[in-house]
Amino acid sequence: MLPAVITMVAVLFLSGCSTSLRTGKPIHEEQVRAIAPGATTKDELFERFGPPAAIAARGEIPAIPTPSTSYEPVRGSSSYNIDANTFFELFPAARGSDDSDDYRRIYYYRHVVERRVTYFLLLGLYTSGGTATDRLWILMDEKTGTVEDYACKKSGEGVFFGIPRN
Amino acid sequence: MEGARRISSGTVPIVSLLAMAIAAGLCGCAVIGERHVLEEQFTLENAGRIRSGMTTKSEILDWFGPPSEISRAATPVTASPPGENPPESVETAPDTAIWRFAAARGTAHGAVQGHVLYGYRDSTLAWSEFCAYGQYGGGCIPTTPALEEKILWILVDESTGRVADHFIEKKKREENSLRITPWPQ
Repeated sequence: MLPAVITMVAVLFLSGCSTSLRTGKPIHEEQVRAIAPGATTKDELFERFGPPAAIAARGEIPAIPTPSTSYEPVRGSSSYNIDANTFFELFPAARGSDDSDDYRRIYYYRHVVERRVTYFLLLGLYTSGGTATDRLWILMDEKTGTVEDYACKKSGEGVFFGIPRN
Repeated sequence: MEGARRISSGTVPIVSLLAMAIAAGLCGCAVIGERHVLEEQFTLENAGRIRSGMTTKSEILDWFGPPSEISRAATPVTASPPGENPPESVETAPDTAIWRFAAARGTAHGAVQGHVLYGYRDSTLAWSEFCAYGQYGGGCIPTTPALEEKILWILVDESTGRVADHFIEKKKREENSLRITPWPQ
């Protein structure tokens, strides 16, 4: 009888519950791979993925809304700045180009999932959480209104590109 | 004595723990701990794959994606002679990292012009609270949230397209201004 009671109590105390918060639309790999560099238009992009979190030209520092979270952001505001030059590093066509990059923009999409699991321990609670972010960068040729290239990184995985790298 | 059952030695610690838990619950005490990974652009395992002189910039971008910080030294940065501090204008994290790379390469070959610096972040927030509630009320005493940051700095030689050097900077600071809501709203 006692072992059964102890087991029941242990299961009760060691069980947990989980919550999750999401920001942005999910980024599905098959949808991303359907993007055709040189052909997919801006309208088609908006139709599939909705509005981006940011649109930036080289040298700009756009403000990106902070993802929904249970915590006040470390940066102390509802948005944070990101250097768009970091995005342009992904694309050799736009990296170190002699031509002016005025006609190129990066459309940045992200899907953020914040997960928390709470464990009920014998003497209290312990919560462990993490943030998983899927990101998509679209290099847009604003002169033609078509996608020039793209890069996508799912959380925990490497980057894949629209134009394969050698 | 007839009917008496022997209590095994393994049962005593379990019963003790159970008794402590019940006592804690009855006195309204609990410890709440939380640890949350805010951002994980790299893992130590992935960072361990980097080989100076061999890993290429393309491989870095494939493994980690675009960096969160980037810096190209516009003017030659050379290490100060031993005993001298870097100029006071060096304040930003990338500038500090560039100086550290330059210093590591020695005063004779300290120039890092023609290199690009990438920075990737891994940050975790942790804190705990001790809560006690009784007949006349109660509350929680929180510890100050601590933000632990690791920044992977990678120096890439743009002429060869290969990693010249890299290191992981570790920082920890208390976030006094952080407000935390225990449950999603």
